[in-house]
Amino acid sequence: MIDELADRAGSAARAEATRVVAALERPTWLDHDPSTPDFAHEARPARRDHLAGNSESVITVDLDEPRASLTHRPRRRLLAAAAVVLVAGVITFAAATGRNQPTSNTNTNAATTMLSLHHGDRVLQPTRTVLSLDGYLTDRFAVGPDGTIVIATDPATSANNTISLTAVTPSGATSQTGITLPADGRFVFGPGGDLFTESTLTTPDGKSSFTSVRYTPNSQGPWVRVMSATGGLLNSTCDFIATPASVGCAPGIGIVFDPPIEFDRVTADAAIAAIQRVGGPVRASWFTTIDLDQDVSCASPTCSRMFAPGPGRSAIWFPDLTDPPYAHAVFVLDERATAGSAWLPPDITTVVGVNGTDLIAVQTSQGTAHLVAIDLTPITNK
Amino acid sequence: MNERRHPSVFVSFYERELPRLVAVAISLTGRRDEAADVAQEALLRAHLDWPRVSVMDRPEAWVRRVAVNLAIDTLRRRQRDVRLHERLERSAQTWTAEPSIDVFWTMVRDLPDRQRAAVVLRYAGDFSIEEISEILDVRTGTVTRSLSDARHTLSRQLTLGTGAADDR
Repeated sequence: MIDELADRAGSAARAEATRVVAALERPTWLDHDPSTPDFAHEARPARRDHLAGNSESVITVDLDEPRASLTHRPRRRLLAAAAVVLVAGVITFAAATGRNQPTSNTNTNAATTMLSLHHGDRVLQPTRTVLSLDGYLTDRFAVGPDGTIVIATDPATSANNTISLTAVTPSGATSQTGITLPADGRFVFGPGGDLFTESTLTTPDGKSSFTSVRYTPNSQGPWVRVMSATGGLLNSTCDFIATPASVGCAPGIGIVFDPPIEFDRVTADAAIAAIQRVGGPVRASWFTTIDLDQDVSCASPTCSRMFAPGPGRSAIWFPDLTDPPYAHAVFVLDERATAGSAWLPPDITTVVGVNGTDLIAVQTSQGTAHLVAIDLTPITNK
Repeated sequence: MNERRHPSVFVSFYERELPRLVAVAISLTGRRDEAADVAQEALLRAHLDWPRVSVMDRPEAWVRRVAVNLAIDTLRRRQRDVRLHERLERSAQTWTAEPSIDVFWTMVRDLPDRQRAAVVLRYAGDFSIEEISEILDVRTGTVTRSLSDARHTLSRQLTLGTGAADDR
């Protein structure tokens, strides 16, 4: 019976596929040379418009205005060239969630790369305070490549959904700017200070669009704002960032992207590592998102904090930072796909990122919040 | 120019692969729009990388694997999001076949990844064991075992659900 039903189901699927294919417009990108500069703007329009309509919106930012207003306009989906970028770094993995001890894992996919995750049993202690957060209405942080920390206030408590961004350099210099989000707009920081904002105007299929605003240092001050040429779709409930040199975030999924990333490099690079799921086999993979733990919530604000970019191609993944009384596992993987782990202090509530070999985190001990640096060198030297 | 890299070759490749990629994706995701997206995304990636993909021994295996992974990723994201799932249930884009077939694919989508992919490739994609082995990058014995395990699971579930199925 099962074989008969399977055959009928297969035939039905192929018949339906024939109808879907017949309804598809011939994609315009078929007629374009992908190496041409305008290809990115031509590639995606034909996709799905016949089925899902053309209702996605893209946030645009006026870069000439210090406090740029964000406007929505219907627009066909851009080809996010970054959508083609895939994992060329190393994906991090934590084997424990919540209050469970991290477990040691040594598994391999014989076809690719062996990972060896060492179980660390020591507690990492903050080594120095970077910045007292008293006085800041803090909500989000990012650590730039030069050590500059960008702090954003909570838009929910700011007038007109404007978030203020304060950049603090390692020398202590500060600058401020602001950006207005769409109503109830969400945002998430990527490494290097990229701020990704997301429209809440989701399409019927639950997707929405985003853009990124990049903060980079220049002579005019610690940071200036430029807009990166990114665009694409987000899952409606989980921030997903897919740009070169950024960290992807999805429910229980962390991906490090390392520029310049090309698809063929992913398939060719045996150092690509992917973790299937908590407690499950550790498997190297050439492809993208990995299911770590379906129970891990990835509500927008906390999702990005579950994952921090590390120095070089390393990265750190935190299985659960929503349970501060308990320590959390940290895994650092380098280009050799080795890994280490350790406990974070229980009073670490948010991880901002990694600056060099320091993990920058929010410590809330003694009723006061501080940005602290934790020396990761012992882990990375494992 | 290498003949296989000529743009017209890709167009033929696109037209040849699209229907089966959609069939596989629609079975894995249960949605027409996502299936079309997955198939086109896979083919777009092939197009972007055509100079390299075209000289592979089996470019079609490469794009099929990409499509399977994309479809599985799509399904995973959806399964994790209850709210989105509820929205999708209301969506007119959901593929509905006759009830028993709907039940079948719903059960298939609950199978472990490899079994799910193997069943979909075998029945919706109409691929041979050897082709599935190539697409999933596993041995043929693994494919056979995955299909057998999947059939066993599906048969048991059908029996529990309908009381009428036998287990071959």
